[in-house]
Amino acid sequence: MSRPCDHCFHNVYGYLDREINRYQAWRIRRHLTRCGGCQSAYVFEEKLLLMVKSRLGEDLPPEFLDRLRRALSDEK
Amino acid sequence: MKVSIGWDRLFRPRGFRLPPSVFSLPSCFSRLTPHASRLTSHVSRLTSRRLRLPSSALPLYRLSDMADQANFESDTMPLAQQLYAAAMRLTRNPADAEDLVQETYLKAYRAYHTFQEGTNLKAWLYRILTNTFINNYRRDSRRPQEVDLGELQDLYLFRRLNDGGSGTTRSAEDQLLEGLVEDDVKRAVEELPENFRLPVLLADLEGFSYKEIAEILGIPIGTVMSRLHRGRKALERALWDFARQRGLVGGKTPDE
Repeated sequence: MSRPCDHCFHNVYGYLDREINRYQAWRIRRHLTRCGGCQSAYVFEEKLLLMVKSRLGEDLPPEFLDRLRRALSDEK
Repeated sequence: MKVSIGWDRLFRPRGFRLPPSVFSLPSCFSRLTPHASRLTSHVSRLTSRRLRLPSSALPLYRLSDMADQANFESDTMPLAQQLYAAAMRLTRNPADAEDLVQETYLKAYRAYHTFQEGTNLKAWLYRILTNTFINNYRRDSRRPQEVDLGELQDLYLFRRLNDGGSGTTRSAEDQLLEGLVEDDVKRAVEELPENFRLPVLLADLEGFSYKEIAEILGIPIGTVMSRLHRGRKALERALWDFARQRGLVGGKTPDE
């Protein structure tokens, strides 16, 4: 495992969350164009985070909003 | 909870109004609900007719309070479903989640006059939700659990998939991602220790930035980053276990 790959692996979340600085992001982007392994890892990780988000949704129980409104109007 | 006060509130105490000759609508009318707009047009007609009255004769502060109330529901109700989803993962059962969301709304309603319009309403509500949860609903202990997750690899799932020997293929990855059902992911998140679960939920479910999470949880941004990243790695490990139980992936239990 080379150093740029390590750098990529280490910063995958920061990169996907857009929370690393522009220089680091540029280094990663440049490496991803050259390294198929890291690129597929990033693609996988991005899909994984999207999958997690999509599976965590929750439907509101029926009439929950009505109960909430009623509680709020009692408060008034 | 930190309370921010708008500068105009600072220099003009509550109840103080400009004299009617320079009457202008208070800033809280900027986002008008149909109900409030009827009120304001009525008020402006009143003020134009009785321009000579002293400002104290106009009960405007009452009306502005009402506008705030009207705003509160229309502003916050669209967020109820997201708040409920987070509450479900925190409390782990529908009844508690419902109570938690309701309590959040009541607290937010009482404190709504301290909310500075134009700032991040969603983050404000989440701060109330997490504080309420930490204070009232934590069953395990009064103090946050400081659980050590152990050494965790970067890109845990991806590496495990690669460990299979044949090298990962797109189809094996997709099979894993599609095979993990809602219950798996929800349980994996719920199994995370609380101090890791909160940042993971706020980032992955709600899409808050690290800075927003730091403000919501009242912890430094560096702590957010390390907890979020470690939490996600632990989540990946849990997902791997579920995937193996479901037979989505072959292979043996890896020993770190």
